[in-house]
Amino acid sequence: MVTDKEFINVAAAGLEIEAEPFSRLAERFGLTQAEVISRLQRLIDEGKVKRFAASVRHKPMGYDFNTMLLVRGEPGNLDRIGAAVSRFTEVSHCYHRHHPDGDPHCIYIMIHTREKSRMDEIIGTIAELHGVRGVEVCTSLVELKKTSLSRVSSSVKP
Amino acid sequence: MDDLDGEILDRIQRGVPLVRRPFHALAEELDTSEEEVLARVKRLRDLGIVRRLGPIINYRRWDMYGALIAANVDPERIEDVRSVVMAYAEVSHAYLREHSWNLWFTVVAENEGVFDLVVGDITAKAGLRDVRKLKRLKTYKLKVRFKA
Repeated sequence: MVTDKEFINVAAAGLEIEAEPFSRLAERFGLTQAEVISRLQRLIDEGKVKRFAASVRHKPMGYDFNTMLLVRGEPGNLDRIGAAVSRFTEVSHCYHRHHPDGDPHCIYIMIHTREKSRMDEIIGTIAELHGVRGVEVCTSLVELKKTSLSRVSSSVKP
Repeated sequence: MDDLDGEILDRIQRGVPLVRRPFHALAEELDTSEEEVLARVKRLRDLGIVRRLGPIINYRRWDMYGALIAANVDPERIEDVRSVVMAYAEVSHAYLREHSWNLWFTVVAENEGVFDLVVGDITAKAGLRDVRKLKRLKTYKLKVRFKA
């Protein structure tokens, strides 16, 4: 019987766009399509797969302005800043991490907009939030790689 | 792109129905035909908008180890960085950014040992300096969905 890891490492390559897209996975593993589908559903129910869905490239959809912000906050205000920032629909990711210089109170924010004016407006609003000590705009100069996580076991061994 | 493309994109970013004929199920929901949905999703893929239809993996539930790496690289060595990050499935995103730490990439590996091995190899092959491992301490938001 195929393990969950073997199964997901293959499934992660994604579906062909065809009428019965689960048939290839079924054939590959000697399962029925119903078994493939119930395995995926179980992995979702267990939280190992967040959803089975489309990943999109935002640039061809017109989201030309994409920025990472590092926001330093007062220690007692990080949660409040994180919650306020998360309300922007243009914010896709908002995490607390250390700043690379060692400051432990930093929030990382990814913002995507179609217009530069909207990007500037959002950054301006965040900079004015209560408890924000400083904002660094880290515009991307070169995209070297952008993929989906495609394996749950490694291609290399230590 | 018209309204139907937008509805399809919105719907498939939320999830592809887990049934034998998912595009048929989508067509019924959107009051159109299976052929129409298939043709449109194919076109969205050909336009480069749809990158993949697949499982969005929650790596934490597989006991994997992930972090963001910030580092410094000589911009002239950017092609060295590109070739080594492309070779590792463990690296999902990598950007040169306008900042004093100019290289940023995400690594998700089977365990911390593999993680360190991958980062060490990239560091050596591309001459990275000041490499910092930045673990996610709290998630305020993670919602990658784009309106057409």
